Amino acid sequence: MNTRSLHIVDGVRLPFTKAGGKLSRLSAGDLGTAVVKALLARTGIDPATIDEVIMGCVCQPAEESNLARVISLRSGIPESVPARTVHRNCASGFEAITQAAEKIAAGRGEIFLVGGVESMSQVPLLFPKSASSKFGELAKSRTLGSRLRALTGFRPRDFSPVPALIKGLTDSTCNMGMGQTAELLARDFNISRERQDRFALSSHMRAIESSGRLKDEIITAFDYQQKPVLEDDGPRPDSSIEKLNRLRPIFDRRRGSVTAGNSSQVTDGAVALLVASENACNQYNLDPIGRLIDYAYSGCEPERMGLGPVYALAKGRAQGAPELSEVDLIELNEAFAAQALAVMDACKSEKFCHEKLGLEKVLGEMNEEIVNVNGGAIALGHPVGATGARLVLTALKELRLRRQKTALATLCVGGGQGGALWLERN
Amino acid sequence: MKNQRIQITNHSDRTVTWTLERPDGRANVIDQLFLDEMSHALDELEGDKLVTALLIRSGHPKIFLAGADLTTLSKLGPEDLENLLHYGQDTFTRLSRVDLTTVCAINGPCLGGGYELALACDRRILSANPNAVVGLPETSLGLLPGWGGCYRLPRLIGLSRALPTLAGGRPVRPKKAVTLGMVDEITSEESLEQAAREALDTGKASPPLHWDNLPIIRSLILFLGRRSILKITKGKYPAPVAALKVIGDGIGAGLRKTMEKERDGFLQLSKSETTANLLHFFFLRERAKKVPASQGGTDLPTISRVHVIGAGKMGGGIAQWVAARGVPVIMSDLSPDALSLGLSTVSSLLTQASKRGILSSLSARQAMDRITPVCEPVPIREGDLVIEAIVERIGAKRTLLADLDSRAPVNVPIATNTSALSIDCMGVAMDNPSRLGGLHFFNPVHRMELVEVIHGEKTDPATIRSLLSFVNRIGKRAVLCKDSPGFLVNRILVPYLVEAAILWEEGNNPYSIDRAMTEFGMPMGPLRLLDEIGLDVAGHVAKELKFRLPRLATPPPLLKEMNEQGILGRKSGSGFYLYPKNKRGKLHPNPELSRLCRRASHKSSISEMSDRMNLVMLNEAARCLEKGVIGSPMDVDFGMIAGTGWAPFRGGPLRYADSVGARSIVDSLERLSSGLDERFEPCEYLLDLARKNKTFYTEPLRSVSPLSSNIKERITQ
Repeated sequence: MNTRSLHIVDGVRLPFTKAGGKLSRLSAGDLGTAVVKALLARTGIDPATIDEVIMGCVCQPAEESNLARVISLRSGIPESVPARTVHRNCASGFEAITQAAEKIAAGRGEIFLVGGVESMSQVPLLFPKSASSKFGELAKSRTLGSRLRALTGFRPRDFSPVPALIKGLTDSTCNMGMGQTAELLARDFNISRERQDRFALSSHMRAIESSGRLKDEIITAFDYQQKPVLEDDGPRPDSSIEKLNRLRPIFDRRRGSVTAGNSSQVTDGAVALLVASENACNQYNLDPIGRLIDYAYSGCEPERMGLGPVYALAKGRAQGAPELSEVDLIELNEAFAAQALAVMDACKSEKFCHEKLGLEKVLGEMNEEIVNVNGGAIALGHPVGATGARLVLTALKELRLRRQKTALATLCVGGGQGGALWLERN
Repeated sequence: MKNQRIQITNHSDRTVTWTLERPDGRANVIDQLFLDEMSHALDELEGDKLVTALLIRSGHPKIFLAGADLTTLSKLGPEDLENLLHYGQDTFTRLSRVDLTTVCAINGPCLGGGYELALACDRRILSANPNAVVGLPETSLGLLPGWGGCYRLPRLIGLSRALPTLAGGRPVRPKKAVTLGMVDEITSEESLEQAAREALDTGKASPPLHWDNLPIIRSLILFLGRRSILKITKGKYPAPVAALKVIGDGIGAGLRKTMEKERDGFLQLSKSETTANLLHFFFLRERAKKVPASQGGTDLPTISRVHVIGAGKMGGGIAQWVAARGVPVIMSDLSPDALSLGLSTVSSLLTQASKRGILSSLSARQAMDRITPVCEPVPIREGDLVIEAIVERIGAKRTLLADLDSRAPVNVPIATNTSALSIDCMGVAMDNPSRLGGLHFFNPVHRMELVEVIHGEKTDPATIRSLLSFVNRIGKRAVLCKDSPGFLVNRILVPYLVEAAILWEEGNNPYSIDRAMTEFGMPMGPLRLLDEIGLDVAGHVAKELKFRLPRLATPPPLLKEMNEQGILGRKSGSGFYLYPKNKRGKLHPNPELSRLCRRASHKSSISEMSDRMNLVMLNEAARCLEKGVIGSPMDVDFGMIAGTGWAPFRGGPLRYADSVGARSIVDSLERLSSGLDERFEPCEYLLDLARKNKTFYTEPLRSVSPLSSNIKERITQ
């Protein structure tokens, strides 16, 4: 086996809380600092031995530019340790891990602090473009007359804000919202509203049942008034098919099937992982929980970005990564129930595998029994930049509990990409 | 010969620079040699017609000019002192009159004589670094500014601003200094030199006119000022009033006349007992700043992180203080709720500090960021210090210490924050008790300068050195005590508080009991103090102390009764006094108490009461020396003033005892013990002093202290 592979020493995450909720007053920097400090304390690692801090974040805050550096310094990691923030939309948390893996493989460092952070609560409202050019005019005008002229140029619509979050969740290359791409998949694969709702319900039920199992990966967060927040607040114990059924489609109001209930939740969250080379594990006497054995990213149609995982799996097969039949556990991100179900359907569809992926043999079946055993983003929430790292953390912790060996973590990426990481328990 | 105080460089651009710097790298202070060199430098400048400007800067990285060299000053006889005052006044006046633009570039503390020098210049440019404080703190040492400060400050900033600055004796931070006009400009440290050079071109300054210096208005200000000073000092501290008088007289008079009054005032004050005592305390504090040199053997690694275990009031307070001083903290407790409480304590203290301008809001956030809350055991590393601050129960502490001992690397010191339990008793639970020491922080941590560092029988000297340096590094001052009941401060304080409660039971009015001691000079009466400490805490300590020192007075049943009824002092709304919410002003005695227990109706006189309460303290203080709890009378005096606010102008209990005389103390004690109780029986140490007609201090502090060389004086923490 490759001795320069990446080992995951340990990881923690904050409880995922609904945007606008318990942790909404904390910035992405606050969230990241809390989780990184807790990880440093728990592992006892000397922060000076860290080679780089790499954090994924999608909605990178304007006031915390290069968020990873902000978090690194605020967490007491020495100034000499560099830090970068990485972005591959929903796979940003993956990206942080795989960049560390590449550096370790290249012999450019041994210990990395990686993870993902997202405060979806604090994504700002923007002025429309029309307004910003007018503000620019105003700032440039020097005389009273020109100022008045610039001022009279403003129109009421210049002041109606644009939520950056909506912009962020819209693919500008195909001009489709993420929800609309899910609607498209529901139609392509003929996934009924009821099937989607059942999938969503199962996500909640599993999350509720396993909330005790997740304790080990969650640390207590403290809100801006220092009140403790102990658990994820997304899972609904009172969810039912009837309740889900009553919700109206939000992306296609007339004929759609994707509702707020069968989509992932908008959430604040942060995850941190300490990863290291085998050498470093030996040198510092670290006992890793698992390692990364392979990974793949692949592109696909932006309009059907939800199928990204399927393309990534196909790429993985070409690289020699474990087959679906060989993995004990799957974390498949639930951006939308329709999207996750479409991935499962596509993997076992001869037609799809043959026509779209050019495969002779189907990718195989994703056994629902081993997919998202502790619930997924529909219940737990999807703090976009942090999710990738959560999938890896949860998969490894669950492997340990089940005493099983191999796990797959995969997710779809807005803009038409898929990412997949194969992990093995040590 | 090279100058020893002021380095002079001439520039082609017609400016001269004086760099205050000593070849030995020590802090800049003003002494005879400084004035000599300054005087010579002025001779040259006065003769030189080409030079147009003078820049005064410091070559010391942190300090501009820390004031007069108090060590030598305090040794001078009256005549020498007067000469030195005169010399300084003349030299500074020459500086103010020299026909050049004079500018000070102030990079660090510029206090007392140092600021008087700056006042004699045309412009003062101050670095915005929060350590760069300016001001005239002489009155806090019982003196007044003696080198022209009384003349120049009110002329620069106006009487209404000068008066509080002078009388309060507090160093002023940069932002406030520029608002008050004490400096002309503040600038970032990096551009200090450039800003000062720019100021060299601005020409000589003419003092502004201040409406508050006009005759009738100034009389009113002086009248009000005097009244408010007296209200604060209660007539115990003569210096602020004397300073006010010199300023008041000087503002209408000329330079020569004012300088004369300044000298007289200074000389007068320097003769007073109060000033001697305040200087004594100043030297005690300087002494406490020195950590004894390595005792040989291996030193422990420098502390780079602290684990505070227990997030209660003390734990939270300690975590806040340590984090605000730049040291990372792991705060641990058993539950998220307990941690939440601890974090709230820290966060509200930091908010207060930033509201008061002690910390910037950025520094406050940085301090908060340094704290990591954990509710599971986390690894302890080399370079860590563990401070345990959990409930005061020996069993719980032992279990915790055993666990810590088994987990922490061998060279990690472990400290217990206890006020009453024995270090040795806790140490038995550990395999390696040599790393266990006590760190007794006082409540509230952010207000109390003193930390008792406790060594048990088995504590290793390296552990103690590590704890002492740590205490110093976080800006607290330590006394080193042997493990013994109540250590130093509580051992002396508790009998005093118990005596106050006994006096109450005998039928005395709480007001008069408290007044007896505030008139003596305590910042707060004993019953008020009991209310502040909390009857539960005080009761616990008193019980523990009585258990271990049976000879002490039995705490009156009243205290136990109050505890049971939940009358816990201020925090519960009532104690010896009532504390209604949102109400300030005069306190009223708690009528409940008379119902709680039977009271006699014997009234004692104020002096009788103050004698009784003082004598039990002095007796116990002497016993601390007798039993070797501390090393010297200096430790007792420093500990009591810094730890309880014990009347600073009396120089501490043992210095006060020396002024009364051991004989007379023993007589009074014997008189009381025959009439009352064994608690007044004088201890052997006192009896011995009385027999041999000796004093606690064998010589004045300034010559026994390790301060014979110059020290970084007056840098207020």
